[in-house]
Amino acid sequence: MKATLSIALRWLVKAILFVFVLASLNFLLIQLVPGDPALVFAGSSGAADQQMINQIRAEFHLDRPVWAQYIDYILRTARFDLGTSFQHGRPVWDMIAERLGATLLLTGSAWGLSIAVGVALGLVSMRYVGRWPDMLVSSLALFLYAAPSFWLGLIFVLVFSIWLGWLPAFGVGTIGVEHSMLGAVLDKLRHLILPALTLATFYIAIYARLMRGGLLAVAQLDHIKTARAKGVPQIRIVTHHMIRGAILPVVTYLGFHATTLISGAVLVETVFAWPGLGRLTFDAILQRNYPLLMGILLVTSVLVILLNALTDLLLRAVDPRTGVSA
Amino acid sequence: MRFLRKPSGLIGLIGIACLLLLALFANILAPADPWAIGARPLLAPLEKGYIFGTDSLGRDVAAGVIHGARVSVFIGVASALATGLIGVTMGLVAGYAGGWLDAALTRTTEFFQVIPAIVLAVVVLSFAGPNMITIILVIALISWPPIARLARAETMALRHREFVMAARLQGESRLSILTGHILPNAAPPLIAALSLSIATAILTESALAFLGLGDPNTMSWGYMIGSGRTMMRQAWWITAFPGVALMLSVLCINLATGAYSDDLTQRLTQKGSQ
Repeated sequence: MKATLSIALRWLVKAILFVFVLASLNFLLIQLVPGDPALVFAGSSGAADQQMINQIRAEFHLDRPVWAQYIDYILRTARFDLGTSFQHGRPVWDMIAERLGATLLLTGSAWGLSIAVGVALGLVSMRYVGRWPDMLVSSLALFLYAAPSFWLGLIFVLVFSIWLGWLPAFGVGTIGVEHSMLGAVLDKLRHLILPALTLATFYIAIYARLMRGGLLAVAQLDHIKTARAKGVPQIRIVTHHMIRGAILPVVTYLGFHATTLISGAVLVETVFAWPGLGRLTFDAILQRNYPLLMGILLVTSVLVILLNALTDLLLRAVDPRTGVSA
Repeated sequence: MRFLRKPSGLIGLIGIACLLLLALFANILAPADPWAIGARPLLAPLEKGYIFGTDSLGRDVAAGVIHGARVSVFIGVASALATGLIGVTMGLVAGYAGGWLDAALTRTTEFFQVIPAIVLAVVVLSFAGPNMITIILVIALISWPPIARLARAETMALRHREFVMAARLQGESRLSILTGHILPNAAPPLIAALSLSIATAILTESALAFLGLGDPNTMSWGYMIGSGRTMMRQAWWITAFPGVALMLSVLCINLATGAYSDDLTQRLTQKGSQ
């Protein structure tokens, strides 16, 4: 318990330091842009009226010296005040908060899917090592590893939505249809399948390879031989001894893959019009909405730190031998 | 060149050679400007001699794919060089200096590894405005940390070896020890990692172009995929062919690099056992 608390505390300190440095970088970025920062915030896409400019000047205290602006900026970030999106007239934090759930749902399902399929493919490879199913899995992994996710998503849309008509191509729900509770959940699930699969493919490729190696290594260990000698049925050896031993290193990759999962979500959400942070990023790029972009950068980075902390704590819970590593 | 004996290494290298030829001779293979409107819009592949068809404005998709190879190769190689310059410098200095400098540089590396790469690239490019130079610099900015970690580890393994000690005793400067003794010995794994980062850079560039942050003056694969997106229902070929080119390029670079590093580890373990 004490160790768990100490891990959590270390991560908290790390997160606070990180946010401080990142907020400073954001501030530096604003200062580096030539010209009037107020105009930058108003958005270079034109149509900035004088009233808006005045509002921005007042909010960022642009008449005060730079160091005073900096302290003000840091203090406001510490209070979760990420500024205002002037194009929408709404606080950036509110806009991000309402999108967080969709992104977490997408990345979480994609990660779970990649672990499940990765384990299954790894098992196939191990069972037929060196024979054609193993070769097939390896080649599939090579292709999936090289395919850009946003393109693969479009190909999935082409095949499963346009040609076969099995799954919806975009959005989170069918528009204009009234659903019961269960119907709404099922409808959302149908919309989730393609984006989650698209985001998962890259990790399926990695985890299938990792599981194959892990399972083959575990198969050589003494406790497996003992179980076999005792006459434990093969299926039980696989589920209770081998997968357990091989899956832990794969799960620890969550922390390592958190950054790329979030980056991938930006692209996949853009393809499927999935209303999460990624889609918000895409819209913010089109609008040149700088406060929103900087807010997204900050929040997604904190999300990565949280996922890393979570992995650390989970690992500690599953295998108490792992020391304090944060 | 021993890794060529492996089929995967050979296939990878042939693929890379094709990509390079496509990039070098783009103007001969497809003399027309890829932006030029040549024929009726949305011609299907093979129709009227357009093997990959035409896009919604009647531009030749095959010409776009050929000229896109040029953009990908240029951005890939230039970004990998920039990545190597930043990463290797950081890693060499951190690994050799040790102490507070090492601590500071390692913290900086960790900092950059936590930020979601695409989001950072998007923010910086939105501020700086996308063009060839800024895109290459941004890709280097998000890709150097793993190279720095590798260079640091290699340097730390080498810094106490006899030949480095001998060089120090002879009074060689730090710069000459780092560039003359440590870097050449750390080079093989760094070369493997940097060739892999060419593939990552090509993917990143296409992702940025897909999001609308590519160089507006170049016909790149990512841009083509992005612009064909809305036409998926009528014309799948606009999106499909640039993507296939992208995937095959990355696949071949991965295959060749994989074969090279396998060969490297094999040689190292053989050396170790002798």
